[in-house]
Amino acid sequence: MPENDQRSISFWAGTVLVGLALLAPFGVNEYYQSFLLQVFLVIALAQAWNLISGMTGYVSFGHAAFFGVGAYTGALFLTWGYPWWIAIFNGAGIAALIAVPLGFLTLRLRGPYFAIAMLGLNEVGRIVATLWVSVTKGGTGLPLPPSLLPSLDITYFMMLSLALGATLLIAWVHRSRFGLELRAIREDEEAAEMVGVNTTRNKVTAFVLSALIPGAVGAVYAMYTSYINPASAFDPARNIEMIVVVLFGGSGTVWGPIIGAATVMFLREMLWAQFPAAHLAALGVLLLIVVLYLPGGLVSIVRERHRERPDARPGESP
Amino acid sequence: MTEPVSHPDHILCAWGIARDFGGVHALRDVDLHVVRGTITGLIGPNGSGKTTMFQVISGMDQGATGTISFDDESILGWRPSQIYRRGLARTFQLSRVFPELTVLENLVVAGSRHDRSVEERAFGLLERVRLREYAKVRGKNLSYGQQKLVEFLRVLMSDPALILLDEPAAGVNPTLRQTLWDMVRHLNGLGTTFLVIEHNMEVIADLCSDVYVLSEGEMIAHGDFAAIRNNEQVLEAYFGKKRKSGTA
Repeated sequence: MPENDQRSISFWAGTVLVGLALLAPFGVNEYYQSFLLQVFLVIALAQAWNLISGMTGYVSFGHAAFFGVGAYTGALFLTWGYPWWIAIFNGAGIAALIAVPLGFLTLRLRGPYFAIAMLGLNEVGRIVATLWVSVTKGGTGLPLPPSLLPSLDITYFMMLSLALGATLLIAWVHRSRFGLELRAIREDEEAAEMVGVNTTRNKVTAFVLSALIPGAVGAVYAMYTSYINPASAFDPARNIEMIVVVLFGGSGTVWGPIIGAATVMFLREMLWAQFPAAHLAALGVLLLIVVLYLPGGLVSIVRERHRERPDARPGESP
Repeated sequence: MTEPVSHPDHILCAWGIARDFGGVHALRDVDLHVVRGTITGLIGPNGSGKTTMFQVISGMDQGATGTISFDDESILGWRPSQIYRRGLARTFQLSRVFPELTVLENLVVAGSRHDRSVEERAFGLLERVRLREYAKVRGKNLSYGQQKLVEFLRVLMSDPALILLDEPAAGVNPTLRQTLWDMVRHLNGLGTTFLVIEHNMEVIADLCSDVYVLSEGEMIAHGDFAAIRNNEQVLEAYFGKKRKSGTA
């Protein structure tokens, strides 16, 4: 399929999906609206993880830390009387600010060392939120007065905007020179540096952008649940969720996290209803099947059909 | 070690380069000067330190001591990307194309961010080696020889003044090898300087006006190929100690 056709299909498919998502609150009940909101939350987080881990190859096991920072920052700014949009802006900003020095420190590590360092970060966040009682109210958690919270419809559209914004960001990165350099780093960091790619600058930029999104999502999540505590804000399962969703859909792609989030969330909801005791095990088996037989994720089913071929093959042998 | 005084004809000057790995002296007080516009050879037996020297010059190995100046500017301690952007590029002994990037992307990523005609330049280079039809093929789907050629084209994207080639023809079939050497000659004719590691002495004799010989981390000889081939130390490094007459 020609590249222009693929782009055209992507554009129209995206437009239809966004149109449906915009209309959904007017045609579905609160249960489905909440379900869709959670799908958007997972899409936004998965896209953020996709940027640093899928595109750059630095597998993070601790991006939930930025979500937690954003959740607490957003919640605190709301309780201090600031409007919700300032709370979200600050949630994203503080997460990004933390990511700058952290990126310079941790992105020197590679492979499992980086992954473990990030896992440690999530734990540090949880412990700080637990022990800093004067600000976070510790393990008791931080309730948000309903009078300060936006309505479910507004929260829904905020989460949709974040999912859409994260996806557009990834789409832009994918087609940009910056994205090309990130992919070169993923393939061979030394060789990338050797052809003029400033690997440190690119990695830290990707890391900061990938922290900014969960920061904003965390702030909206706090408004959605109206209560956060260290366990829910810095939940390690959220890290696993991001990774599972991206692997399910297709790592390093624009559509992978969307397809992965929709599929995983739908399956989880279905399996939970059918097998309340074993739904996570069933989901785990499905993930195993996808990873073993479709290492490129669900999007690779379409990709494999359109594998590249040279226009002609000169008589060359190795 | 000679005094570090650069000569206007020298595009690259390295003085007293030393590099240790634990107790192993990979390079010991190595001096090397590359004259602008030439093709200079760097030869020596396996393990003599040739690739380590390339690693140090290109900035990939930051653990060496000594002085390196490129185009009258000290570059020791610079990041590899800075050195590349300054005009010194290198290839690797084993092909390191980006496997999941297309051939075109492999080239474009090495071009300037500010060059609006970077794709045209990439297509032009591919055309010259008859690989244009492979532009959209991923690096991993090329043959090894094609990968080496793409890696060579990649460093040309920045129009470097000096190119370090680390065994560029190893594992490449004779047709592509010829294409590669023809291109080296052509670029050299246009003014590009080359420092080449190569085991094929016919190629060294044919291409290089100046040859350096490394052995066990030390620079043991320097001169034109005719002088090098008759140098006692060089013969000893390659073929072992001369047997004394009368011994078996």
